[in-house]
Amino acid sequence: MKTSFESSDFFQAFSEKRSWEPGWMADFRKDSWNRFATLPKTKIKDEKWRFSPRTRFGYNDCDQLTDSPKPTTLEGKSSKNVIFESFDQAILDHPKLLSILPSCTGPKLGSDETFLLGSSFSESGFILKAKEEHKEEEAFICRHFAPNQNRSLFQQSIVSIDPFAEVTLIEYFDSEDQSSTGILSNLSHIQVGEGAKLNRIVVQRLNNHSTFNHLEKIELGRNAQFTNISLQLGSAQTRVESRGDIIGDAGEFNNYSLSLGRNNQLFDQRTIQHHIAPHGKSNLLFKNALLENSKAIFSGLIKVDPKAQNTDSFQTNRNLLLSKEAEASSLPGLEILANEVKCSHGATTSKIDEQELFYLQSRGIPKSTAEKLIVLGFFEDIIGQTPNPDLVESLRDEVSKFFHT
Amino acid sequence: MSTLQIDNLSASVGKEQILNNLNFTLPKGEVHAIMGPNGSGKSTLSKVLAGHPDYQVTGGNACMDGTELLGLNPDEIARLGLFLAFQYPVEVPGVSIANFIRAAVKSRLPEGESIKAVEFYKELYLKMDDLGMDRSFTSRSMNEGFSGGEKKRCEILQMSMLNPKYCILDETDSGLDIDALRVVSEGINQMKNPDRGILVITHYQRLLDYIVPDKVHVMWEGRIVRSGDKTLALELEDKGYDWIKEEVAAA
Ligand SMILES: Nc1ncnc2c1ncn2[C@@H]1O[C@H](COP(=O)(O)OP(=O)(O)OP(=O)(O)O)[C@@H](O)[C@H]1O
Ligand SMILES: [Mg+2]
Repeated sequence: MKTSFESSDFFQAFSEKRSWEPGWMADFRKDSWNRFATLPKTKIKDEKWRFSPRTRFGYNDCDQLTDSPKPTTLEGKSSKNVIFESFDQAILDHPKLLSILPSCTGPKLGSDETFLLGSSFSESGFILKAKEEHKEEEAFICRHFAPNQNRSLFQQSIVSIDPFAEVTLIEYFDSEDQSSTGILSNLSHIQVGEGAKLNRIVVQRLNNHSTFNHLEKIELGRNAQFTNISLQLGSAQTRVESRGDIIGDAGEFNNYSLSLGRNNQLFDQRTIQHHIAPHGKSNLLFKNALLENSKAIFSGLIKVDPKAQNTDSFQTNRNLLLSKEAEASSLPGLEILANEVKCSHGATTSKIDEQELFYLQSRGIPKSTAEKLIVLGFFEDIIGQTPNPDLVESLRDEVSKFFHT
Repeated sequence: MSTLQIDNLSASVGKEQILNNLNFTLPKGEVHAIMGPNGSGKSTLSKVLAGHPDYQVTGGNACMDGTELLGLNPDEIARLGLFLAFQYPVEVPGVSIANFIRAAVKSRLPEGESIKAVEFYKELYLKMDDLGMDRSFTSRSMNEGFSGGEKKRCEILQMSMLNPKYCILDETDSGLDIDALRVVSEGINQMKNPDRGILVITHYQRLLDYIVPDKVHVMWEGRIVRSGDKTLALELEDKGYDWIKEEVAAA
């Protein structure tokens, strides 16, 4: 079935709405849309969508854009060393920063369609640039909003941390309201320069009718450090594609994620840790706790190029099933072309331990509370990675709140 | 009414019958001991009473102060006032001792009422001091990586925080060093009071030197086959179980 996004009239109308934009941006959109319109048909058997009920991520039911998209709100100020602005504002103020867009490729883990739609139709997002050696104590906070009324919203963000700067970024993804359906598709382009450090936290709390597409590519320079902690709590279905490219010597990429599945929720996660330069480290831990009929898919690849000697790379996926109907699929992968490497990957799926459950209950704790404690315990080694100790308790609360909604 | 009273209790796991028409009464204010050879069903009895789902009750009753326990959920039984200190306490990764015990205490409060954190920690620390537990334990995951003795102390800590009406201590003395045995026994003795019944399951007289029982029972093949006063334990220590097994076989 065709969506209206494919119609050139639709794109034309969108372009008119955005007629205030400079020509280079219009050209970029036009070029992206042309590539989208000429994408080959979806393959029936696509390894990048293995196990995924792909139709759940289709745009058919939400193939209109919102008339007035709720823009990303930002907490934290620009200063002489930091640019922190909405994407639209940056189009006018910082064309140079956005000039990387045509060369951005995204994670390339299956969602080409969403990536090109995002490049064509983005109306929201932000840019964060920290200048060389700038260290910011306070976290920068962004709040993104999924649309309602069967609409889609596309957004992109650029995060660029210059050499030796250190920044913490927290991104919340919420729905505009709790009852209606919408799709939020987010593209993040992240670059961490030499010796720079970026801590990023994602809290996703979309309502349980909505779809979340989260496509990100992180590029790490020499000695750069990136740590991500994602809490995937909301949405009806979420597709995460995350690529970490270690381009400079001894870059360090840490990617931690937890998902709490309820009802019919689906978490479809595709990741790659790509070691291009030597002496790099990467560590990935994705944990999914699945209740009721929820489902998780994890497909992760560690790729080590021939030049990336002395790489340390770990990848772990753990799934905890709390009901007979819950389901987890795991596809861990290694592709190692260097010989001096330390790599390991592992995936486990287990049911909740009946003896643990009995132990808690034997102290008077009701079953549902016991399950919640066990799940929070299961997530503890993700939340515990939070670099800022003040945040730890609030992240625990976020998970806790979702348990009984 | 103020008893934990077990009548003709039979229970099985899978096809195997483990408890056979067991009778036993623990009045409030008393301390009883159950001894018996390995595999005679002592831990099974305690887990059946606590509502463990692995065991099927095939007959009998177990009433605590007049309330039937069999068929209730484990958490209901616990909130009614039964506490079981496990022979093999379970590790609960990622759940700290403090959070665990808080949740247990909270489950006993009326709906909507919450724990007063300051008082809770004051009491917790006091009891940990008594048991010779380092306060830093509160943030460690429940039983994870604990030594045998630390696990047993932690069971007693939970027991003393939860104010149960009846306590069953399943081989709480095993795995304790000599000093720990004294400390833990003192902890148990402090729990003695006219409104509480205590049942200790043990293999060794040395625990009963500290915690003097009002009655001693011998369990064999899923039944109480002999009961007596504290001298029975001394007799067992001296003679072993064979003479009792022979008596049972002869009967
Ligand atoms: N969950 C179970 N599955 C299978 N067999 C069981 C189970 N629980 C108990 N049993 C069996 O029931 C019998 C009694 O076990 P139980 O643990 O109650 O003995 P015990 O008297 O506590 O022994 P010990 O002194 O060694 O602790 C044993 O033969 C044991 O193997
Ligand atoms: Mg036993």
